[in-house]
Amino acid sequence: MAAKQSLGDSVFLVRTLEKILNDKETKRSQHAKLKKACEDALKELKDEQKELKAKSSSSPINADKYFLPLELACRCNVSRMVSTSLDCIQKLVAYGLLKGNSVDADNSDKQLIDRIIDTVCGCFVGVHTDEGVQLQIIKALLTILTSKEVSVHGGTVLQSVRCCYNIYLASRNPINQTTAKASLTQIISTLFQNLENEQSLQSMARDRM
Amino acid sequence: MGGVFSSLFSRLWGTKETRILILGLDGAGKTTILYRLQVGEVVTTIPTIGFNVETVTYKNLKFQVWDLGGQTSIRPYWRCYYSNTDAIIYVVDSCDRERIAISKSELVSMLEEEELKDAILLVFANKQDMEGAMSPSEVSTALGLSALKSRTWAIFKTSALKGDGLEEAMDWLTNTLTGGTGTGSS
Ligand SMILES: Nc1nc2c(ncn2[C@@H]2O[C@H](COP(=O)(O)OP(=O)(O)OP(=O)(O)O)[C@@H](O)[C@H]2O)c(=O)[nH]1
Ligand SMILES: [Mg+2]
Ligand SMILES: [Mg+2]
Ligand SMILES: [Mg+2]
Ligand SMILES: [Mg+2]
Repeated sequence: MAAKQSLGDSVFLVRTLEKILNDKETKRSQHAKLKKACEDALKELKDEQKELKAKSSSSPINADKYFLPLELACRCNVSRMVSTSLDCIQKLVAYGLLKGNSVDADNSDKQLIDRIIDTVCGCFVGVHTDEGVQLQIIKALLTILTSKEVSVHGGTVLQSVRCCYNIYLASRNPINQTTAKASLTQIISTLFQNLENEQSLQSMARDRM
Repeated sequence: MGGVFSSLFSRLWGTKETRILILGLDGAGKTTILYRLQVGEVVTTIPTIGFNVETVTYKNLKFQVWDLGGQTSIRPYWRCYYSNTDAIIYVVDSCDRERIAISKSELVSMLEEEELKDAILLVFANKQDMEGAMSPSEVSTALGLSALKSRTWAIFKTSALKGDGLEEAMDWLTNTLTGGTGTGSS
């Protein structure tokens, strides 16, 4: 059998970036920054893959440093590319390659995860947001907030919850409404579970003192 | 009648995607099946916590296929996804004799839900490539399928790993959706 294809690995990221780069929209001058970011990331990714191969290392890549082209694609206003990018972000997080646990290069007060969530939520621009994009936003937020490898704090949690809730309220697509509601339910119960686990850990620690 | 006709019409013309939910216990092979259907290949999976959703085109029909996580703690969320569902693919790990009773009780409580009363049921007796797999008729008996009343259903033996049985199942589903009849089995 051929080598198993994977979703959410570096090959998948390369394919996604190539797809964005080859989209006819990306060739237009207003998307020059996106084009450049895709090219740079692809080059770096391929170098990194070569290096790993040379060391015959199979350790997975850290996708945090390739977030910029995905971010720009999310902000490009072309629904097709926004959906592709959101789907990629969700799969990278699900497979543990995108963690966002580094400091945001553009804002040292923040973690990259804050920027990731801001990017995802920013794809919802009200009632007229493309229905496919709405679904990809919900899917990504659910994965990020329930991932054991990603920790999201404070205001960013609220921003995510608010975004799902807004889609639930505003969407005219019954399936998106149902999905937003289901995801909110799972997100909120996960948040409380994490909180309760933390509290019981703390009280266990206190009991030991 | 008009309703049936118009929904058939919109299906044939690709304006309405058929909504399929893939459900079953964790490790049964749901995600593997989703991507088998979508890209025709075996992918490396991880346990599903949220959901996967992909558009699958089969013989000019469009399906929106949803794959939910099957772990015990996630099963309570299945019901949140039931509305507007046209068909359920219920996946069983045919080697998991220990948990077939749990699989049955999840199936039974799912089928009691009002929102699913018109949903077509396809049971996949999956992992048939493995030594000691229960046969489809064993799986059918263990799940109590013969007791199903007023439900269009069928069971298929599948191997998501090898790609066996999926085409038969999709053929049966498209025939059933476009006017074929009744209860069947593989
Ligand atoms: N031998 C064999 N293995 C299979 C088959 N289908 C799936 N598997 C394997 O079973 C394991 C679990 O498959 P998944 O598709 O992730 O299972 P799942 O039902 O999505 O599990 P959850 O997401 O936890 O609910 C993986 O290692 C698959 O490769 C099959 O037909 N035969
Ligand atoms: Mg599992
Ligand atoms: Mg799965
Ligand atoms: Mg997708
Ligand atoms: Mg099972």
